[in-house]
Amino acid sequence: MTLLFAHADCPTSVLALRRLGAARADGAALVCVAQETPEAAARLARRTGVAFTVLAEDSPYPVSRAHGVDAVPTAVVLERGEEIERVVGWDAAAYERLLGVQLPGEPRSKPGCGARWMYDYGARGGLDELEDMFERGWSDGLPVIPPTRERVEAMLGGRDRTDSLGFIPPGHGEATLERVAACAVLAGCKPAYFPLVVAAVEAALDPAFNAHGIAVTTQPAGPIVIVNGPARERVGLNSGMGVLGPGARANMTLGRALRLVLTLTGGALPGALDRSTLGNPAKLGLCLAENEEASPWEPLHVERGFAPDASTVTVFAADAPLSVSDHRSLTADELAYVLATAAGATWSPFWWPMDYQSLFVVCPEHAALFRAAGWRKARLREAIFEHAVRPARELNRGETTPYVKAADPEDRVHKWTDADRILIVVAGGEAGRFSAVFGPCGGMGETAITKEVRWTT
Amino acid sequence: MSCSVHDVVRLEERGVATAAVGTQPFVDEALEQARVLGMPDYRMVLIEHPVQVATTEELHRRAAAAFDAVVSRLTVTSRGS
Amino acid sequence: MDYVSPFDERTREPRRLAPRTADLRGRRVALLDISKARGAEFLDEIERLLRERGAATSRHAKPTFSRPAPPELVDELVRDVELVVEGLAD
Repeated sequence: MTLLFAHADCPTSVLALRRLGAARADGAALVCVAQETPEAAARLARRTGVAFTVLAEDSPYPVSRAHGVDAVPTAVVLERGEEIERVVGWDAAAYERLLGVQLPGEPRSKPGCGARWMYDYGARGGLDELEDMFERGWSDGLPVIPPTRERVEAMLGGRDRTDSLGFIPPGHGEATLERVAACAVLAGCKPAYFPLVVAAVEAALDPAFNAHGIAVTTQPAGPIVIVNGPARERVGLNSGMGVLGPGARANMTLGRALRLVLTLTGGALPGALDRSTLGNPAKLGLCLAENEEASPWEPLHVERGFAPDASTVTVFAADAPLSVSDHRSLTADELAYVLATAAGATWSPFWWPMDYQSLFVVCPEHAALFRAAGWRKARLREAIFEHAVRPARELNRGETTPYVKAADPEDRVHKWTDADRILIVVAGGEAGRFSAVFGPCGGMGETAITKEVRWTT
Repeated sequence: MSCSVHDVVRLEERGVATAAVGTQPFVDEALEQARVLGMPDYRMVLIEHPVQVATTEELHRRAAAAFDAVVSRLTVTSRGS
Repeated sequence: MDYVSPFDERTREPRRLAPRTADLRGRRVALLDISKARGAEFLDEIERLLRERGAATSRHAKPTFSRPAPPELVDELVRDVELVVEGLAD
């Protein structure tokens, strides 16, 4: 007889049970030992449609341990009570041989997962720990990963935990590497992401960034992270479809880690020292990787003076992105005009000119149009700057500038004080003609800061 | 608001008595910021919000209404004030 | 459970406010504008009333409201005046 050890949180176990269930594997020869409560085992059986017996074995999993099962699914073949063979993971050929059934479908093999006790943290119910995190105030409103000493050590990767990146306004909490690592754990980062988290915090603490002003303003903006260079592939960042989120763990957790450092260690808690009237969804954290491969231009970090093979993190205080749809422009100039017009409404429709930066995220299809027209990035920047212009009389209403009020009504007023306020990156999926523009956090000074990622401890 | 609190805390530490003025909605931010900077007893003078759309006359009226509080911040030792 | 806290939980040593005296007459008072719109008008009236009380006033301004005052400005105030009214934070 064969004991098939499995549990419901292992996708390979579920796959194995589904395949075996569909093949109507012989119940007399095969018994599933589910590392679950009886209720959860019953749910697993129903979900996978198995016809053979499923037994439930709850913590401390004596039978699993007695058979030395530390991975699932594991099939232990017994003859007269003695083990004669075991199959670890999904192996269709082995199961076909053992059970005399056909098991069609892909994949034919797949690695398994750790046994159930590797997911148990001692507390029955597991969620108690997560509630504790909320109660301590270590959350941004979503569940966080408890920063145990082991997880923080793993995140530090050998770095000196007492090294300090500086004091974070407005609360002046010190950003020791240990605290930064704790925030990275809370956010759900893998240790491989940590060098980028460190670089992002360094960028945010650069005095030119003005983390203080950005943290306490009533404006909606929050720091977003743009990654360039080999780091993108090294840590598995998304620069393509859905780049602005959600979906990719590296993107979501990296952006979130920076925000947790500023919020928890820095003390800029929403509703307390963070006075943002509305906030914005991107303030949960936003990290995008530039799609350098789809771009006809030099990437952001090269423009800003870094080597192409350097990995960099650029932090920019941005409000929520404005989507720019354009499925009809046939010329580069037309498309530039559309981008410029859309950008005109961002941050403030009439406070022109603004001396703050805007970030354009140009999608690959739009970038291709500029490539086909032979437009370099500088030309696009100039075109956007030139097209975002209106007569003062149109701007002289509501929240407008002293400049507009004093100008002749027919004076042409630009959106920005200078074209160099315009930042451009390429990102997004191959198909679809939607670009985006992010407004600034106004009045803060220089808001985009780029730092190189240091991989060594 | 937070930056003003930073300024006045630094001035107070260096022996300069101050009165920082802000608008009502920022009362808790001001208290929290002062607390984290180690001056939990610092109190701002608070006036009506909003200010951006008020007339000059109205701003003068609010200044006159707040003047006694400003003077008491500058000339009496805090009683927790 | 042994967690690493993301908070910097060291309590800051409480700091004392500067000493005050009872009188405004003859005192040097700075009006420090944080440079948000409309603040100057508010401070104009405060200044007028301070002068009525016999204080000697001076006007100063931060380069921007979005950052703490630059160290040089703080040094200048500490050197040149006795009292500061800072506004208008909205």
